[in-house]
Amino acid sequence: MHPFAPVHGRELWIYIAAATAGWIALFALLHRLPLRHKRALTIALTFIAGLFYTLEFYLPAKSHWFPWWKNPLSDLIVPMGNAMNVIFGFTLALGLINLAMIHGRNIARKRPGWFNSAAFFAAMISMIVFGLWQTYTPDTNRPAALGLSCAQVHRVYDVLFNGLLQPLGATVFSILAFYMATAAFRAFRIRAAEAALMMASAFIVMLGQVPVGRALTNWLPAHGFYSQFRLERFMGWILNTWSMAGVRAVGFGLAVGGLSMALRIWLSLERGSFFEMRESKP
Amino acid sequence: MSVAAGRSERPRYVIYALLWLIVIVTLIWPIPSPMKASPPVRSLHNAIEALPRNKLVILSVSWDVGTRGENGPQTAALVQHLFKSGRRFAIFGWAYPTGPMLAEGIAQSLSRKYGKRYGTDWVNWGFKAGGIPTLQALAKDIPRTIVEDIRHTTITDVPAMAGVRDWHEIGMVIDITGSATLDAWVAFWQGVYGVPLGYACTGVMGPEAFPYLDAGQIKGVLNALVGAAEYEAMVGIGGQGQQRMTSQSAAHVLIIALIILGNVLMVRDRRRKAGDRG
Repeated sequence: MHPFAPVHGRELWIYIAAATAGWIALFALLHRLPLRHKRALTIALTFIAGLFYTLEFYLPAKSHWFPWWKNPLSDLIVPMGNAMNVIFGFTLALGLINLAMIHGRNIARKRPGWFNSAAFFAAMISMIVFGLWQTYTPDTNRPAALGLSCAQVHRVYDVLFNGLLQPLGATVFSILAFYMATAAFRAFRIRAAEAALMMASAFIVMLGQVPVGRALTNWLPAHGFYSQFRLERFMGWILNTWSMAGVRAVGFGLAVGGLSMALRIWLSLERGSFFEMRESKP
Repeated sequence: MSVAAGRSERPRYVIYALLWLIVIVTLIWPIPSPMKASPPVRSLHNAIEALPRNKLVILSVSWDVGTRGENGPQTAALVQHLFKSGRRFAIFGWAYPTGPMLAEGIAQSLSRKYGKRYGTDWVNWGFKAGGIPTLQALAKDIPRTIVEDIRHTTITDVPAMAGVRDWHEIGMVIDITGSATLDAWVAFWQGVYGVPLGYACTGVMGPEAFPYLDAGQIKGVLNALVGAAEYEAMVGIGGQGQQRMTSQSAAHVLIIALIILGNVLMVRDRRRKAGDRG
């Protein structure tokens, strides 16, 4: 059997129990390690993980140098992806614990705005409870628990997700439109030739994006030399020629910066890490 | 708030009210306007039309409610085209957990119009955490990476997934997004395996896509709401993209008018100050 093949039923529960016990033992062991050993272990694991993905990506998929002619690391990509999901799960729990500690302290000490922290707990707990509950409950009229039927559990979740989360998220984002409108009035000033150029480009792109703008130059022929002056064509020329050059330049800069940052993280050269902060404390 | 401070805040509130009013009015009473597909939109449409029928299309829905105004109509237009042309597709999210749920709602509501059924005509893989390593794993082994769909059915038991093992069975990936997710698809799917890519993005993300389009790394782009409206016109369907174009037109014209007004007032103030000094 493949070592990473999915298991079901009783076997699955044995795997879960064994993995949980293993992780608790590992965490207990790691917790007891001295700081310099923790640091060395973190550096080694980071390097090995980076090396795995680098070699898997750059080595050819098939070569006579490999046993069975194919890249042996490629078979490990799926289990590694699953392992990453487990680690992400831990980081999610870490985030929740961190938020709960901060907001819990706000409530306990009745700091200004403590009611916002209470709202955070209400939102988080209700979403977790009803989110998980409806996932594992069929949408029927059978009784569930706490005097609620299964269908009611689904309705409560609908209210939380479709009735609250969605409109709240959309509202926060749509406020941007109002800020942009006032910023356009207050801040977009032509004080130099560059600003005039930028404003002209912005007008052309904004009008070229909408039917009312396109209608302004609809009288120009659709083909031939004069068609280049239609707003949508002019907009395309700005985006595909001038803007693209700028985007490419920024992209190259970002790629080089990203590469150097990735190398620094991979080789644990990045300063200001958790261990350095701990070691610098007297 | 003092009287003076209240006066200085007044233009801001007027602008807020004006924007709110014109958006609401034009949403309620839109003016139909003919849309003509631009080359990037036409190119994406033609690439989907040219896909072999036995291949699965992945709709990567990396968006949430914040960008629903643009990404929602884009998803709806693409889903309608796929339904109309009888192509199977998979909804998949790896950047925003709510994306697959929102896209599922769109697919469900449109499926009645086209007589399509979940599981046979489309499948929802749900959200998978893990970022780029998940995308790498997905290319190599889809059933082992996805395991089960959002209804907890083992993925290999879903009829729409018949014969789908890895990237070989994927006809195209369409990244519908409000974030910088395209780079990952280009680097780990298009670049490595040559899987064709389509892109549907918010207006602010559009300029970043054009170098990829120019290089042939993506087949086509639906840029912002206008992209959705043009795509709807191309497929021959009505939709929110075209309905909302009047509202967007009005908002763009208002912003341009505000920029001009702001500059006119600045010039007037400068002249007045110069006159006072003189």
